[in-house]
Amino acid sequence: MAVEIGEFTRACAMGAASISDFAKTKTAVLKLSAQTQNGIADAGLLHKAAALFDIETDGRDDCTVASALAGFFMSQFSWSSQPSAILHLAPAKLRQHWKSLGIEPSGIDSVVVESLANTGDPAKTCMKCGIADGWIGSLIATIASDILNGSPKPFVAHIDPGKKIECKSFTDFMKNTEFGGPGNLSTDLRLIAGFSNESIAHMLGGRFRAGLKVLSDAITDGRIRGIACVFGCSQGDNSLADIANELIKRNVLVLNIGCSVVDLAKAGLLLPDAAAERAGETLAEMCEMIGMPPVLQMGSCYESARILFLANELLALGGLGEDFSDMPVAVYCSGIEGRSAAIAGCYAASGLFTVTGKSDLSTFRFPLSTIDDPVDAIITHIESKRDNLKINTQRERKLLDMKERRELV
Amino acid sequence: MSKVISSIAISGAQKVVGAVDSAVRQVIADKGSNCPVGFPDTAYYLPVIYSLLGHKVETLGDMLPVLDECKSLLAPPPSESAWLPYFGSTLDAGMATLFAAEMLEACKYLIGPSPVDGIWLGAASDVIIRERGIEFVDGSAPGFAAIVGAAPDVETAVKIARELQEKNIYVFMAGETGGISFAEQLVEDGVEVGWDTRLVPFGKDVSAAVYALGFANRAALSFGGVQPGDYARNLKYNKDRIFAFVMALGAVDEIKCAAAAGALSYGFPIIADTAIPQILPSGVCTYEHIVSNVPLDQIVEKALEVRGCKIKITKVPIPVTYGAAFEGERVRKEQTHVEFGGNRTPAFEYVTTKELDEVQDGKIEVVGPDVDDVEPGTALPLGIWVEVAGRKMQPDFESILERQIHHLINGAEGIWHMGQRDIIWVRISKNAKAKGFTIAHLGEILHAKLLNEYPAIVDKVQVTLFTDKEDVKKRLAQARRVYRERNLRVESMTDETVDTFYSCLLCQSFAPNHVCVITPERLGLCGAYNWLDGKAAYEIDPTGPNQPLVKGECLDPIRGQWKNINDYVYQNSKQTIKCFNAYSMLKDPMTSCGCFEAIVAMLPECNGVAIVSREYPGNTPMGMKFSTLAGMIGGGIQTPGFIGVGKAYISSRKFISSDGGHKRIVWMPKELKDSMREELLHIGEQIGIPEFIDMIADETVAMDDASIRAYMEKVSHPALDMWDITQPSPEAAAWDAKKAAAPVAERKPVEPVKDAPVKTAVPVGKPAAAVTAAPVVVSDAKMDGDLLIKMGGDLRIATPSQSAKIVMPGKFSVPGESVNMQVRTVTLGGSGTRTSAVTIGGASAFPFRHFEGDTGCRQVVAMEVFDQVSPKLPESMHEAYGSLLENPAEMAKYCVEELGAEAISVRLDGTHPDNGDKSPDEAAKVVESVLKAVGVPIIVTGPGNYDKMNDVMKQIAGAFAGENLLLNWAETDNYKTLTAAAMGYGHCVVSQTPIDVNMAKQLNILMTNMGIAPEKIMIDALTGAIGYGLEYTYSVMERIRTSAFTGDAMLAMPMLGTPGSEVAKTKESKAPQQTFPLWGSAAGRGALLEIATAMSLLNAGADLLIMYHPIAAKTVKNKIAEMNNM
Repeated sequence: MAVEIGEFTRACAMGAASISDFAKTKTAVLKLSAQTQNGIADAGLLHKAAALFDIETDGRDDCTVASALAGFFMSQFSWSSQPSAILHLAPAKLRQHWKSLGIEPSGIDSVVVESLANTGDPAKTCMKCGIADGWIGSLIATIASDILNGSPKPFVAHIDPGKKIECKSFTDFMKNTEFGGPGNLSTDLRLIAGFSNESIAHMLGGRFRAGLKVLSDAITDGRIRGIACVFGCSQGDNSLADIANELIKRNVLVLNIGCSVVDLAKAGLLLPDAAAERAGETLAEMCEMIGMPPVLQMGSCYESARILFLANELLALGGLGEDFSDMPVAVYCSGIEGRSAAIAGCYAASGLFTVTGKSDLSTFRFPLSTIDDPVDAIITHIESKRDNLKINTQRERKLLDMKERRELV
Repeated sequence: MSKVISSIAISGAQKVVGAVDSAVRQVIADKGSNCPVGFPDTAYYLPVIYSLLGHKVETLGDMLPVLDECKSLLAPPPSESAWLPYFGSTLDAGMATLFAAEMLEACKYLIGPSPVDGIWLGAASDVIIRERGIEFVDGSAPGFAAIVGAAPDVETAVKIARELQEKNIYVFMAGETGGISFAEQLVEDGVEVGWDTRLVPFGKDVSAAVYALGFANRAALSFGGVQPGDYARNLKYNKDRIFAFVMALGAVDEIKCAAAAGALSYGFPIIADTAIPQILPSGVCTYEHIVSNVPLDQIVEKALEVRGCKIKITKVPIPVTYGAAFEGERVRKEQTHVEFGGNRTPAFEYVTTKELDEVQDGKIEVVGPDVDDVEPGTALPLGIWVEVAGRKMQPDFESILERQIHHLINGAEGIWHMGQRDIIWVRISKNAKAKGFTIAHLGEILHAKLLNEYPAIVDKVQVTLFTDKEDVKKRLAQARRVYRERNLRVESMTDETVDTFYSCLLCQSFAPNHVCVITPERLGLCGAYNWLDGKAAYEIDPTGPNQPLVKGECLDPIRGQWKNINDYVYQNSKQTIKCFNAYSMLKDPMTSCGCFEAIVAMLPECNGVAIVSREYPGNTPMGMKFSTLAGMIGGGIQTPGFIGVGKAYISSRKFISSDGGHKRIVWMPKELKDSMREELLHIGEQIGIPEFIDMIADETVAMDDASIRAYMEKVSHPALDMWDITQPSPEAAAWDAKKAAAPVAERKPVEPVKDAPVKTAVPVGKPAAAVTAAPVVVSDAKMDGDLLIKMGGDLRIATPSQSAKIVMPGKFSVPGESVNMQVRTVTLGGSGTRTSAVTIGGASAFPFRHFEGDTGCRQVVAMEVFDQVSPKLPESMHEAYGSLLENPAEMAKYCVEELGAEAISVRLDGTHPDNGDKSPDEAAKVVESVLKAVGVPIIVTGPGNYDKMNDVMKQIAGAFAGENLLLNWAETDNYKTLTAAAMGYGHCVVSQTPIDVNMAKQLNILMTNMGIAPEKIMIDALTGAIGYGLEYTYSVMERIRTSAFTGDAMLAMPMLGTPGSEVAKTKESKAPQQTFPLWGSAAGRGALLEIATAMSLLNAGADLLIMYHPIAAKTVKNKIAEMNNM
């Protein structure tokens, strides 16, 4: 049952098309909100995004900036002779790699068409489609949505396990239920959701020292061996929860996006007390320090870019290599149905070790090679990266005199 | 169990914030919201709030938004199950607690109980922050311990305090345990507390701990150059630099827990002796966040380990504790067992250099009675005779080592030392004697510490301590002879007599662009490093922050500027400071770090300067306090009109000597004046005004420009009779004029033409402007006279000396632009038969904006000669040149030799089919005659007709291959032949397009696509004369240059302007005066228009101008020289 290239390409194109459509809607809403002078929930985020894309903010009001940002986003869908301007957010080394392979997407829609037209090297087309899905589609959708709604903050959500949830709207769905919505509270599941990049930075350092240093230190000193992002379109099957369970037991911090939230919630992994009960000793210590669950729910599948942001920020702190591929980070996707293929394609093409079901997508060599034990493969990968980074040793306690302190930058 | 801590801290924070909220509202109800509130003697308002939130609390009403902020920082404590992440919320709750505590303490200052009470000191003033903060910067204080609570008993408290003192760590004390505080425990045992002993009791309430954090925040503001409100940088500075920690002694209640959580955000970990839950993973702190249950005998060691702080201590073999903290400790008379000097007995200290084999290392000898031989209260004579030897020891270092004796001896607990040389005063306390301290231990201290602190220069130390009157007298006479010799040597040491200065980069840790240049007559601005110290420090650590600077060529003897020093400063200021004057505060002064002892500030209204020292807490004539002023000028920037100085520089002969020296001093704080009384009296004698000291106003006399001025007039202050202080001194102006007149403006060396060997008499490699050196240099006077007669006396040539009235901006610095690309340089001539070359271009800043960057090569003025005289040429040209117009070779010679033209353009209008149709051969002959007549680079300006242009240029390019001509011009419809000709025969070519940026770029692309090097192309955007479209030319040229700077390689070429030919076409330069009587002399008009056009073109970025009228050419050339020599 090895994954075939044709099947994977079509799935990628479908996923990217759906993300593109969603991102376009969000962009249109952003534009409209700007024009009608309302609906900018997070001006700080707006300015941060404007700075990322060189959008003038001096002397402009928020709506003008938002309108310009929406205009920029709108230009990222159609074909252009140049790679998308968003790609500069990826680490330099990764970008160079994409460039040398000739897989830098221009507009996301043109990449979808290219995939369906089936003209180029199929494996490269898949990578390109994945990159467009995550770095363009999801990134636009996530940023636009956060500017409009504010970036999510941790909250206790209640979901009805009997109800099939719609991927696109489940964040809203959970919010609604939380605030007195229609959820059947007698039979509901509780979970803690709302882990955005901003809320993670806050929970690790408070308002004044917000950032990922605590997480980065924990990875470096081995309390957290690495990070795994798990997701999948299926609902109602235990395989994903089993994998997550195994990973946290081995001190890997697990992140989750998409519909599989229901399965993880059912398994109780999205509540903080899961740490003491299920996680390995050192991951549990970190969870206890922060007050976080061992599995962080980071949104729906259109928010897959949050994982990219997180990896980017960890990389920027230093000590974890120069590229995503250097980091002890892996991805597990339960299968390639629905939108999972494009997301898995994005992570794999961005250099993260990616397992889809029982296949290794990382090399894009079709038919994909089979992996017997995904957990084992992920752990092996994480530990080998740790070895390469030379962080698999006891962290040295350096006492600094004044001269050495002056050299700290 | 961090959840437990979070619950406690958050609920503690809620209580504190709630209580402060109601307290503040109550005080507002009593006093009104406009009632001023704050800490005394600080310019930082409530410093924690100001530095982290950027919010100034000046009145009670200002506290309300801070209270709202506090509430927004409070999340609910973690719930029983399904709790939300709490670590970040705990840190936030801690910060809210600090903000609230700071407001509470401020309210106490307003309504009581006063925070300053008994042993409690309350808020630290800015003076203390400066004084003590420096110790945190230079490393003499490795950090501070914020002790909250109390030790189980007095003995333990004293032991912990001593251990911290021994490690030079400040101890900040607040709060209590069971009604007893750590500070009270120390006092109970008779330990001296206060800033001097580094044992600082802030207050008995936990909220007083906020003073410790306010200290830390202010250190970042004043030494780290952090802006108020930039909490991220402020806290990072504290994490990386201020190695502080919280030591929680005794039970930790929820209020203490909340306050301690606030310290975590600073990277200050919590070390507790009780069993509170630990937080071991790192991140916000460098290592663990909370470590608890630490045994008290290990707590200091453990705290340093957790904070990651390394402290090097030298074990001094004496029976009392030793550490810098004891330097401030006093030994009172009744505590004294024996004393030396202090006017009761003769006493002195002396360090001398010996050969290595003459010193027995470690030998300590006491000659005469010791402590056991005398009754308590005795005074003995003392001679501290230190002999040192070392391979790198020099007699110059003796005084430096000798000066250390004071603080080295003072470091011992119970020993007190004052003064230096033969005016010392030493006391040994009864306590010290009881612990076994003897006179020999003074020698032990010096032996151990000198070897340890000066290992590079001191290899052996031997100390003899004389306490016998006769010995002391005999030795004292010997020492005094040496003191005198040293004085003479130091006095004779001037900036001129040494060829090496020393740099100091110590402060770059907080002012990254600051470079101190220490000269014999100008010490470092912290006051701590003079030239000899720099020299010694370099010997001690050859790769350290003090490096020798060989002065090199003197660029300005008046202001004190040297080439090598400039280069070093530029390199080490991260390429921000290009130029440095040692003796001027107005022009390119030294940058200021943050730790200067005093500020010299210009008072233009008084034609003088005010000097304010750090100790002075009041307002200054500049309208602000020292700390505000210091914040403005510090941080490693040049602020013309303001300099930070070491106090000793005030009495230096070189004190702002190029701005007028001591006579400029019009205001000083009274205290500073009094402390410098002797020096000021001496200065008065030297400047011939013995009563000068009384002419200097102080805060008791005048506080603003007008009243200082009035006082100056009353006392006839000498500054009133001096030149305008905003202008260069007569000497400096004379030097500038001399420099401007000399044909030396060094920007870029002439680059040899790569593919053509240079065979000229003019040495290639001379500065660009020097190559303009025509065989005969015409003096301005001659030029003026001749031409003025011709022009009927209605024109003046602006010479630099007449026009050097550009007013120096006194009080601000202009932010610079940075560029991505430098304009290429193009070299004309310099090969073939050319005896000179000109190099133009190279700018990476807009013209004349020297303060912004390298403006590249000086602009060049070329003049034009003609193969045939156009009937349309204005009459003024005939008047100026007469028959020379008919003879291009002679005219070229005249232009070069008499008018200083740096290149000649040969205009070949006569080859135009409609205009004489001369053959290419004939044209070549004309060019040849000009080439023979002059050695400067030649520009060949062809006819407009395409076919003829190509024929003529082909012919000339070939005939004069290797002359590196400038072929003028190629255009979009006719560029191929010219470009090929230039490439084939080694010439440069003008790329001309009609006032359009895009077309200019396109043509350059087309030309370079043919293979011509871009370094061979000049852009001509097409000149419109003033009144004839100059504004279009201007904006297009400016756009071209802007595009070049932003990185457009195809526009990064130098530009040509042709004001001469364009102005000559205008009606205004041709119409006779009788037709337009109001237009004035026809003779002058053309020249004036040409000057105006040329100056505009220069400002737009023109690098080469082809000019016509002699007056215009000469004036513009002078202006170029003047504006490039600013």
